[in-house]
Amino acid sequence: MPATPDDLLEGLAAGREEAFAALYDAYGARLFAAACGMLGLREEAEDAVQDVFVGLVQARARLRQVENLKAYLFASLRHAAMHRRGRAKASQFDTAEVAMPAADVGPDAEISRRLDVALRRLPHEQREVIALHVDAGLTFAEVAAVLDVSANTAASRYRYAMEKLREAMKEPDRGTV
Amino acid sequence: MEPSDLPPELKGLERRLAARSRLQPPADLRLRVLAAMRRELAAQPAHSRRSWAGFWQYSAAVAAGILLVLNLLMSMGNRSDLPASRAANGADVQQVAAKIRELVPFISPEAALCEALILRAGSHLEMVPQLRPGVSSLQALQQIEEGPSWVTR
Repeated sequence: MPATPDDLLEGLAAGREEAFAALYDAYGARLFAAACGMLGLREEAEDAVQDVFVGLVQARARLRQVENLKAYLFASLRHAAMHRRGRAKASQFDTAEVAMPAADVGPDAEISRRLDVALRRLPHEQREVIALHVDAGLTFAEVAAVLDVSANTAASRYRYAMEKLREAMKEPDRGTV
Repeated sequence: MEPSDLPPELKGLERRLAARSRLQPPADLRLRVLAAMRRELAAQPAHSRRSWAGFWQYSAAVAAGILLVLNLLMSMGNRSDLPASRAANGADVQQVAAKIRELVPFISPEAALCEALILRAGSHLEMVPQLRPGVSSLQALQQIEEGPSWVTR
């Protein structure tokens, strides 16, 4: 792993494979989690993550100008996810069921399943904020930079999303769509 | 709004949301992504060719721009010789207007100045014969020698 973010950027810009591998190790899992939250389909999420890294290789000559690499990565992921959503019917993503890990059974797994169903019923822009803040662990300032909105707007969307989720969790379970 | 502004029941929901079971990236995703990046890095020569193509396109655009500017500058250079570009109310025009008023006393000063300007403008016109279809070059030369057709003989 390169010593500093500048070293990492320099390695990426120079096209060094170990720099790209280090970047995947640092952000791959969080990007995948955010992609699952945005897209709801495992295969599409995997492809979106791959799109981000391939796009990074293609744009490596411009990477020295990037000031916030994390925001750049998640903004690229958002773009890739939007592209993939645009290619397929939105309803395909909204009604798809993300397969839960097989070992998860019991009340906690049931709550997780109900939360996932409720998340997919949220408007896309609110789901994005949840995916970036909760699943990828970005701060509201970072979410705002990724979505190109103010931090207040990002936080407001988050709160509306949480209120909708709370209402959805109060409703009797209707199963998956 | 900060996350700390969330009411307690939403904070509880936030904790459950963060703790819910989520998919982990498959083990082969790393290999897949790295392989795709390696392929893209290997495509470097193609990238260089695209860069050269961009360079030549840029050079051609700059050359076209320079030619356009030169063309415009040359057009403006030609126009600078037009009589209208000289001082229309210069001393020579005033002298001619005074001469006209001497010769034609009943003409007003404004009309005399107008006539002087017309004479001045006409003195700089090039005598170019109006070639009509069917007029041979010999006839055109004869026209030049005889003077323009609007000169009353």
